[in-house]
Amino acid sequence: MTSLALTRDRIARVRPGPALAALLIAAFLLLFLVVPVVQVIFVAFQDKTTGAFTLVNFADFFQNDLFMRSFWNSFYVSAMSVVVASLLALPLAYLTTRFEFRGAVLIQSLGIIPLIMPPFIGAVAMQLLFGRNGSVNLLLRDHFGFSIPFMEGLNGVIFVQSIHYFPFILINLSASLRNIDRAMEESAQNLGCHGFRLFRRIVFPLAMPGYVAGASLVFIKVFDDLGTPLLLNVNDMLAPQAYLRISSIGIADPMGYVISVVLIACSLLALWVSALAMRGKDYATVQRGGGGLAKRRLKPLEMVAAYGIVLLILVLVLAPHVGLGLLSFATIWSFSPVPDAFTLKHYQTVFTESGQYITNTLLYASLAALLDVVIGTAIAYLVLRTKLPGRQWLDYIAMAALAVPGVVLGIGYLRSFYDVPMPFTGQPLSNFWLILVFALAIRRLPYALRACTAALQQVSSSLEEAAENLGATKLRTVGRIVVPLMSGGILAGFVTSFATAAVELSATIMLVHSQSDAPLAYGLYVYMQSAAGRGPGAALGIFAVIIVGLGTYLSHVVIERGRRERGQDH
Amino acid sequence: MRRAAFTGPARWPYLRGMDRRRLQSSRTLREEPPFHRAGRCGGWLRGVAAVAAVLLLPAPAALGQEGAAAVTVLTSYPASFYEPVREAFEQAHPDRRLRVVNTKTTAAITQLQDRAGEEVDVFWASAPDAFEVLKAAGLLAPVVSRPTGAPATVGNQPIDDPDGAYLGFALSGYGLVWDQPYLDRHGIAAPRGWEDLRRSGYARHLGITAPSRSGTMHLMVETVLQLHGWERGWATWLEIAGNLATVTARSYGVVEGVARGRFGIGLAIDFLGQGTEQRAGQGTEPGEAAGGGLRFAYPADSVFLPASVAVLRGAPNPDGAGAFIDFLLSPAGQALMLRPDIGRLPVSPAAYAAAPAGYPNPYARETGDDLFLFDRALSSRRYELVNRLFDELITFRVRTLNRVWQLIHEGESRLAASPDPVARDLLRAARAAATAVPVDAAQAVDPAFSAPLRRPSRGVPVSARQGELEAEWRAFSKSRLDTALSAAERALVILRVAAGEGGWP
Repeated sequence: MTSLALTRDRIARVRPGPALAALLIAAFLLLFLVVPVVQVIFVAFQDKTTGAFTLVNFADFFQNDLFMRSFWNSFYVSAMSVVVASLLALPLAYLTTRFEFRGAVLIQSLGIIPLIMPPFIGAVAMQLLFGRNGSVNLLLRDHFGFSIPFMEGLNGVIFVQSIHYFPFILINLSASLRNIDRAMEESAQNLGCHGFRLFRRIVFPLAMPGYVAGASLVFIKVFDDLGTPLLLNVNDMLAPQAYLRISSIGIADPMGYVISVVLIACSLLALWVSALAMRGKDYATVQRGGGGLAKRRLKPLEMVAAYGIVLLILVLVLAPHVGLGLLSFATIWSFSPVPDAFTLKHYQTVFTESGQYITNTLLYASLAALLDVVIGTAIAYLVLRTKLPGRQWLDYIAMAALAVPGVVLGIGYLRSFYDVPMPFTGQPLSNFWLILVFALAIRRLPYALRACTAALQQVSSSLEEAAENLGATKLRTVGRIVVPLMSGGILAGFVTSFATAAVELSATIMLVHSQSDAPLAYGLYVYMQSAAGRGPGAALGIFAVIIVGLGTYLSHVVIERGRRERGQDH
Repeated sequence: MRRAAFTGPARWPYLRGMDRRRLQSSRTLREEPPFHRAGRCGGWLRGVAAVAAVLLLPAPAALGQEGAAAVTVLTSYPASFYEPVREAFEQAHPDRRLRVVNTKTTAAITQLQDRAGEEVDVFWASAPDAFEVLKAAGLLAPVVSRPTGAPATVGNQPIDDPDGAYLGFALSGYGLVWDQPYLDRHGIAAPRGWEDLRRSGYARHLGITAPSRSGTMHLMVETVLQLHGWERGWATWLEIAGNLATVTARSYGVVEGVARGRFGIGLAIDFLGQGTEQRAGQGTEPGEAAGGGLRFAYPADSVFLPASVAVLRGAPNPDGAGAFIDFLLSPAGQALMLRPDIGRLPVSPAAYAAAPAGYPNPYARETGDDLFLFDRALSSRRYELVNRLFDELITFRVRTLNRVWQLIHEGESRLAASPDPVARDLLRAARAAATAVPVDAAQAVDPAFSAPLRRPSRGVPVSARQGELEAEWRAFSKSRLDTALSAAERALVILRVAAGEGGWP
């Protein structure tokens, strides 16, 4: 009786405006996220000819040597990338949290530089620096008579991915280390524990949740990535196999769908592991007292070692950028440590031949980012400020996009929208460029949503109540009070979405339909396929890095300014 | 060594099946097993074949009337060929008997080299390089040229062995056999030469046999390798292989496959094609009406090579052997070649006077070999090298080759319509990878390189070096085809997107 009354009461309180907004968003998410993904899963369990339910596609998958090898390769590459990324992140995180280290700014930038260059862009440049006949190995062979197979086969993917993704571990691990209660460490020391035992028994277990969260994120990202293996010509991994099945056999082939289901399952598994670890984190923060571990000064010798490590990692992290820069100005660069001569020709080529890639990218990425912040703001408002039944589900579904690899989303769109004719032209809907924008928007929605939610959480609801008390309607309150107050967060969300959407390749490469509609990421992919195209490709890559770098910098500035302003207000 | 691994008890039912089929029909494998399996099981299959060959000897001959008078002939020819010859020979020499042991040319070489089976007087077969191999092994006794009226050479090729080890008794042109109705049905033009067979229009319409299983096929492979040069020759074969429907287990399977419509075009020796054409033309078997459209043509750059006969060193009946050769080269023997069920080109120019209208006459025809001399010594030096290499690069990889060449051809035709520099580079890379051969031209002419290679035979393990080389070639072929596939696939995506069709078919 009570529950019924409560429900009725709730329904009575639902206002039409938010309900309409919720319905629209739900329809969008359903159409462009849920349906395509469910479609993919559905087809994977369907008999190709009869359409009946079957497990035979999965049996085929598990009996096929190539697919099983691809599966283990993907698993191996992801796991090894986590290991190598951890090796890069651990000393940096430890240095910043355990010692009074002056190079903290350096380390902070180390955490950002790799993220502004998508790994597939740097992959070719890395091959020229670290490949079999790359600069490093040429020098090693000339002076020491040996070479290191950094870029041979799977090694190349691991190397490129771990340099790109280690900041995820660095950021999470540093946060985790900073949150450790100093009392824990001191108690242990009082009880006579020190050195490595202290690290192993106290510090490491307490930092574990943050580490696992970062590591699982790296694992998922590497597992799902399509661009890097494709550009390094490593085809026997799962994401490239899914792509190649569709691009060479067509959308009727069930194996592409089966691989997609395996990709989703592995993503979910990794997310689940990280969720388990994050649950442990609550336990640690309950006892939070002092801020982080005790810091101490470095001895001179340690200082040298610390700077050595940081500089080494800095060199590695900058390598793709430097390589790409050199390549974009190089006339010829092969079998020599540095290019033969330099030229501006490639930039000229890009601007004359490939202007459409850049304008398309600016259009698609800004539309996608706009869509993201509008939906993100609306979901954040619905979740935090209304009592709509089931409003949490909007949040959950939008966040579920995290577990959907770009390839899978691309395949889902092809499958779902190919048979839908476009009005007027009668062309398949999947050929329409706006579909690409929707795919990008869905892919980046989780990030925009979190930024918007965080922004709204910082706006006190008393401000809205004040506005309403003064007679403003709900819509006017949102328009004049809430959104302006959230603007910093929204802008940050917009810029992040824009910058990452501009260089997204996985879904793009599945959905790109004609060269005139193709965005920058596709242009880069095509250029990098041939030796002659590398120069212009690198120039285009530099352009992409500038877009992403500027975006990252702007969002950083916006967030910092917001923080300062709030600091002054209170 | 790899082959030994497959001779497990699990395959025995298959062995029994094969055995039964052999006993039913000595001439052809009606429903040929997939060649991969047959190839892998080669070791004991050949054993079975040897046993079957002994069991299938013509009963009176096998019983052996007067041992001294019987002439034992080892041949690759089918019964439809040797039976009329045997009858005529025994009529001409009532005191002599002809014992015929029938086996594949390649198996015959092994048998003679290993001195397995019974003693043989005469070796009688088509492939000149098989004779070269036996000559080089010192297994052939010298023979004296018979006066047949034949010139010393046809085109540029000597008819009798200049070293006097074997004599040509008939000429063979190697060429293309096809089924005209089949080609009409699929809307494809009849091929004119080897080069034509590379065209994408013939995809999956082509049948060949493996050179390791057929002396005539070996000859065709070697002819192209010598005509085009080692690397270009392999490139030609690898591209032709992209159009294969299947690789049959024996050379007869090729003509039969065309006659039964399993594929439209085959590579075969001329008599096989003509024989079928004439048989079908007579309309003796209504069930084979589909074979009514069989045609045969010499490719534009074809060569005529002699089919030969030789006496083996240490033959138990050298007298009888001489008599058999005399008979074969006599006007009576030469006239037999024109019989519809034999259908070969006699070496004696005089014999053509009695030929039916339209019968090809190599002496009255421009051949493509005015400048080309088939180098038999070279061919014999690398006999097994070519066989092993062909199996590893082509016979065992037909499906992958189909796919690779389909993509390359599609890409190239799209490229012709709308040029794209990146796709062009990718397709060039794909073509280069798909036509690469792991043995270079210098190694191919080096006798030391080919020396350790042997046709694998039952119970005799191949040398470690051979196993090594084969594994190396296998890995090479696999990696190159992977590279080609991936480059061609990428090129096609780029071309499709450039044409505004989206990145998938």
